[in-house]
Amino acid sequence: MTVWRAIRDAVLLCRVFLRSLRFWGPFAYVLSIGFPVLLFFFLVLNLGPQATERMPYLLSGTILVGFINVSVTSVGQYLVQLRLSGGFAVFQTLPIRGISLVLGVVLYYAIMQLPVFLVFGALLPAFGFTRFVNLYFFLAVAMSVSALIPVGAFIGLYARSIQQGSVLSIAVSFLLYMCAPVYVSIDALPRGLQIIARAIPTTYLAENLRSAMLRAVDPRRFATNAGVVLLIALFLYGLMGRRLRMVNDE
Amino acid sequence: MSLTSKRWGRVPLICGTDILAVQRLCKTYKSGKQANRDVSLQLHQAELFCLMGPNGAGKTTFMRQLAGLLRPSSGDLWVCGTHVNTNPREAKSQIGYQPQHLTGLSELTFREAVYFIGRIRLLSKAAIAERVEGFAAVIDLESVWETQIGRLSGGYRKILSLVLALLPSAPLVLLDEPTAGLDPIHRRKVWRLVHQAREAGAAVLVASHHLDEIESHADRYAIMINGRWVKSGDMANLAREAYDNAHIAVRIYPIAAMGDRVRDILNAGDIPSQVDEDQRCVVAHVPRGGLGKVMRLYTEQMSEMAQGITVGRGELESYYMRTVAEEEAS
Repeated sequence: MTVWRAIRDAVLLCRVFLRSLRFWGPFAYVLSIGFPVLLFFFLVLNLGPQATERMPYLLSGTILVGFINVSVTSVGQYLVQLRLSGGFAVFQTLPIRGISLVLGVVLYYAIMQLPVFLVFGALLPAFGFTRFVNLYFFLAVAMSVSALIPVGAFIGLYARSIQQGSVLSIAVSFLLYMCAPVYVSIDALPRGLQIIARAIPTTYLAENLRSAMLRAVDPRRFATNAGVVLLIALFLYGLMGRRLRMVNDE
Repeated sequence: MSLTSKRWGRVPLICGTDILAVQRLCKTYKSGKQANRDVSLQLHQAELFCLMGPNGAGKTTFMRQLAGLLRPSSGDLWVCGTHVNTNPREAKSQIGYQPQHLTGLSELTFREAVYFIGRIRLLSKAAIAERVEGFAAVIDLESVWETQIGRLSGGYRKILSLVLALLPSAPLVLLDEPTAGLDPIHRRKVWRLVHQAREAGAAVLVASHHLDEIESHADRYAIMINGRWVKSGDMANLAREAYDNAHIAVRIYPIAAMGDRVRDILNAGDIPSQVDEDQRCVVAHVPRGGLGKVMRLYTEQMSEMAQGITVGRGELESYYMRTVAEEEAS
């Protein structure tokens, strides 16, 4: 009963958040669809003949960049705005659990990411990935979305000002795709960067997504990557839950 | 169209007549500021309790603790037998809270906000519609029904926050300055809704600076200064508390710059009086038997210099001003 109530509240809260698309919608969708698609074609054009050879990296990389843009940049900026403009105060007056609010936010952004998924889903066959739809691919996508949202949420919930939240969410997004082997394999990175890349969830997400698209999954490796990402995500979800308290302790 | 009790809904009687019990509540912020000190209170069913006090007295802090939004430093709070300190979520289901300012939800329309908050409060769609019909019978909601909250006027935001607080028919309704910023017509309508909630059985706690409204509507009152009760009691006994029930406040409103002459006429007639601080009126506290003399002086000697007279109103205001001044002096 309690679980059912928490889920029911989360769905209602997600529907409340979805109304914010009236304001954020164009911005969010340009960011989630336009930016990755343009980036993809930019990379294809610049790589020239090498592009075909590197296509798995380019496609999986740009899908991941799309997810990062929404999960980290948009979530971070939306939450910091909601929190510091007093938006949470209304929800705190209601008899709901903090977890419902967290789930509501996660659901909202999961729905926001659908366009990235659909657009690249439509593009993949044109680049020779006709059999990319498999269980591992969906697992990798779900993992990417659910593991990246708490990164943005962490920024949104801990930033001390709206400006700080904005700058941090952009900076962290860059860090997540510049310091991780999103477009290349990890061995191609400089040695120093490889160490940093090991601590970043996008490294594991990119590897899983790529192997799933190429249908070259090593289940043990896939599970290890998922485990590492899960640990990081659980840690961040924990911090998120701590901050989303329904009673203030000022 | 008038509200029926069916449409309004009854407050569930799950907690006897004691709806709110507060015991020695203290709140000290992390900054060290002591906002509430040793505050105790009991509120019964169908009771309207008004809380007054200067800005920064700790009224909102007190309300936020009652609403389960702010953890008290010490003391206990119960709403319908639920210990708010340890079970704030369950307590919140028994409380309708109107904050001083409604923030957030700005992308939603008035209708969507009512619908979603109602659904989260476990009301069915039919129950929400019925409640809204009840509110709409008192206040015009149709003109703002599809307006985004971010585009609503300050007054209608206030009304929305009141509607959201009254929507669940909660046994305890907490209203933080419900009529601040509203025009006189809407202020009356808001009080009608508040009375309807009380008649349905809710205990209503209102924090307000509108002393005339408190005087007209409250059953009980308290004055909070520096986080503690300095005066409290029944409204019916206010006159006795303030003036031993032997005197009655008479206010004469002079035409501009005639205040001193009105006062002199009263003083010459052995009726001690003074021009009030903001020069609006001349106030005299008259023994009940002396009212005829004041009226005679008013009709015979002040016809050219006064534009009105009130008897027995505004006692709370002078009582309040005196209490605050005494407290500040001490």
